Amino acid sequence: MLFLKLLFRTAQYCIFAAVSFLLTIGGIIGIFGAPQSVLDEFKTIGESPQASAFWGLVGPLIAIIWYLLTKHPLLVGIVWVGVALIWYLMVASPKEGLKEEYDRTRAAAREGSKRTDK
Amino acid sequence: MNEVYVLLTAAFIIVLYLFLVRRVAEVMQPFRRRLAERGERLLAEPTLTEGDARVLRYALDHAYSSGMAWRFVWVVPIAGFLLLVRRLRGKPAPSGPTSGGALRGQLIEVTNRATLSTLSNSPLAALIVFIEIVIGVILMVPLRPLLDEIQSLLTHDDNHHHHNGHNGPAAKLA
Repeated sequence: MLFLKLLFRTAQYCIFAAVSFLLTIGGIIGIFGAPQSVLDEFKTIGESPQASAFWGLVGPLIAIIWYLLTKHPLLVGIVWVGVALIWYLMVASPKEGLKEEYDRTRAAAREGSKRTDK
Repeated sequence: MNEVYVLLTAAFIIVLYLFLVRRVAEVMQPFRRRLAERGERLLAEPTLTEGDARVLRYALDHAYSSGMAWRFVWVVPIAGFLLLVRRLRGKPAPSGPTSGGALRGQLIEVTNRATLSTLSNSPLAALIVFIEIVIGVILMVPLRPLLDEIQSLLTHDDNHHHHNGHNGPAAKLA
């Protein structure tokens, strides 16, 4: 009985975390349009089993840990969505700009090397 | 109420960490631009071997990969263990780039810079790799005499077999 209860709770929070994750991504796309990094991440999820497993596990795992720590489902949801948004605004989005600059520098250096060879 | 504090503290720590990740990315940007320039110049070198070019291109492509930074976490201990086994069996460590001359030194430097650049994507992964290296070094200090002993036994055993192979009963009969 206890096992079933635990299983039910885990399933409940896995679904809860997955829904929060999808809502966050939906929110990001709704507010900022469809940024390349988010699209790339979904492309990776589609293409790579490791990425699918990672995203499939991390969200529910965080939700379960926080549930065990706090037992406040609403707070867990708010914090999870909040952290995902902060991650996007503070890390993923600026990193995308820095990576684009790096790619431009690489392309310019490649062109420069070709011209020197000629 | 205590549970709420735990949750908020966890969230605060995560946000603080995210801030650190962002700051590190900004600080590393000029370093990465130089890496891109030097790496591409090296890739244009006509004497660069195909194998070295492949490694360098891979390193440059993954300069912004957090996944690659986390891959280091399990690659470093496995590589350390394999190097130890090679050493015990009396084999030399892998020699690194195959391109010769001044290119070799430059390749090692650029690859090291690319590794640092990849690790900086995840300060937590970098910290774990650092701890792994420190643990490896600490373990190696007391184990060194024992490892030297095992190595000498293994190499002695190999020489002994080799010796017997040439001067065994068959050789004596011949």
